[in-house]
Amino acid sequence: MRITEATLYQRTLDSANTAMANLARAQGEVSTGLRVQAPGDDPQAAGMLVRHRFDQARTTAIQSGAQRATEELNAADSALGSLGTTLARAQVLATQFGNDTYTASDRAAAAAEVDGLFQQGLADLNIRFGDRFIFGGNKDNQTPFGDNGVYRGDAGIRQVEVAPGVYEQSSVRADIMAAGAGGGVDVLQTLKDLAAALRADDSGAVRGTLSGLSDACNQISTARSQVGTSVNIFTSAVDTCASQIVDTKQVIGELGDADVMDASSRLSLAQYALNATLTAAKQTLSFSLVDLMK
Amino acid sequence: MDSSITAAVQQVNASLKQVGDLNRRISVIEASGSQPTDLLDKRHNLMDEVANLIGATQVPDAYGNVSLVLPGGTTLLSASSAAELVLQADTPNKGHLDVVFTPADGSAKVVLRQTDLGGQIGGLLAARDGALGKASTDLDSLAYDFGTTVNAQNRAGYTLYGTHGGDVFNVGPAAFGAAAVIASDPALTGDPSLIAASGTDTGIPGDATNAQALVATQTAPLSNLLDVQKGLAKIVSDFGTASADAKDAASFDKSVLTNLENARASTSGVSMDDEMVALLQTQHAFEALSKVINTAAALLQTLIDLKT
Repeated sequence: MRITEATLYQRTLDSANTAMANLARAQGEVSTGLRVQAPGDDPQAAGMLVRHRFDQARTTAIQSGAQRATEELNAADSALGSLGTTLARAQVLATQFGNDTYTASDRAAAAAEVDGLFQQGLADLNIRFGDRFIFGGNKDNQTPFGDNGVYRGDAGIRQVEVAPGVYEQSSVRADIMAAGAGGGVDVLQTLKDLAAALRADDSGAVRGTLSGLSDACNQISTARSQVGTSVNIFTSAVDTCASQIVDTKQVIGELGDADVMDASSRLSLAQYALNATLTAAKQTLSFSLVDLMK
Repeated sequence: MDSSITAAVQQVNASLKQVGDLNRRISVIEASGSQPTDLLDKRHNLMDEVANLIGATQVPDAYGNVSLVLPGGTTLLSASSAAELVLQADTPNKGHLDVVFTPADGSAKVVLRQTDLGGQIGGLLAARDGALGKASTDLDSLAYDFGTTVNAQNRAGYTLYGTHGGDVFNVGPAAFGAAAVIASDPALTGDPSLIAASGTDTGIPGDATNAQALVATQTAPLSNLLDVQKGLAKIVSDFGTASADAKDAASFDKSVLTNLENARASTSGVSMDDEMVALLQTQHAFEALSKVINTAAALLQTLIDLKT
């Protein structure tokens, strides 16, 4: 086959263009750190990257929600702990002043203390986290318990996602825990009853509140147990999400990121190939019968 | 892409006019018995350019003229009579440009489809209306379906104001063009209380049942039976496959083209070495002939000298 100058020049140009295209691609990988810079680079990986990035965003959102739920439940647990302490003190006072040996003035002083315990219990049950009152069910924009201790919330239960489509309870039913719904005792009313009995200097009535105070303590303890369980679930969800995010990032990196060593090596190879192409071109194009016959 | 098509069509029209003019001039010169090599070369280059731009093939006739015919059979140039290509917007195709063939004889215009064309213009149309067009349509459908699904769910719930929710996304009146216009509703962006998180209007602000339903829309199947995540992943993957296939086809076609160009150059190209050798042969032949003439002249002179 005849090799003309036009053929030689075209081949040289094609070889140089190919070498430069390879060099540009290698440079792009090294500078961006990305192996998949466009969907055409690896169609399957490009599609999977979209899915994994969605999953990563979803997992991050779940982690954030679970973390907030954990913090809110921890606040609820603190409030319930304080309420438990309040009720324990009320039990001590009821036991002490249910004894006939105390005077009216002694019981009046104790009544004042129980009034204080009532206010403390009210404050604990009306605790706020962020812009929400956490013991009001879904009616969380107002204090769950009025100044008279009457429950104004509802029976709603909040739920937070711990995994895609899986929800966990993130609130306590205060109507059952503290307001006497479902056959329980009204915690704040029991404290008011104790204060009234003390103020009336009625030792028998004082002793009569012991049963209610004991039930109240059990209700609070049960609620704390439920809160603890939920906190464990949410804490586990936060940790699981953190691991998943790390795993997903790793998968995304394996699919889409360039191997730095490999990319650098191919960049060096592409530079060498371009240099060799241009050197060969120079030698080929300068070799002609015309030059030899000068 | 439309701007690239516009530039290419303008170039084709200019080249067609030049080829038509060259056909006429070459005919005149050849009729006078001369060989217009320069004009033939120029015409050849212009026709190669037109073939590169639009895929037209050359059809010579008995009179030395060369016609240019498109892959679909449409004659772009016949002797010196050149048709013209014009561009017109195609509204159903989002206003993208169609290439319209305007015959030289003034007969009805014809819209040329991608299958009627080749070269750069054919490739641009195939890319624009093929893989890109499909991806664009699919994205529009995805954006519209997902936007309307979320909007419907938000409208089913109740805001903090106790009213039904409004649209979360503005997606336009139809799927056509939805991907380009989809945006968060500015009223919602300015007032998050308008997110209809509650499933009831009875003044229960902490009710998040509709918020949970809104979250669930991201995995709800849309009209193509895929959720928004899988739908988008499929569009990206399909487009990537088409792109990779196009690159492979281009690489293969480039190899074929290179081989054909080498074969043509081998047959009709000029090799400097060949020409130098031929030149040397001719030079030596001329020198030898000069010797013969000189020798013959010397012989004749000798004969004349003898006679005198």
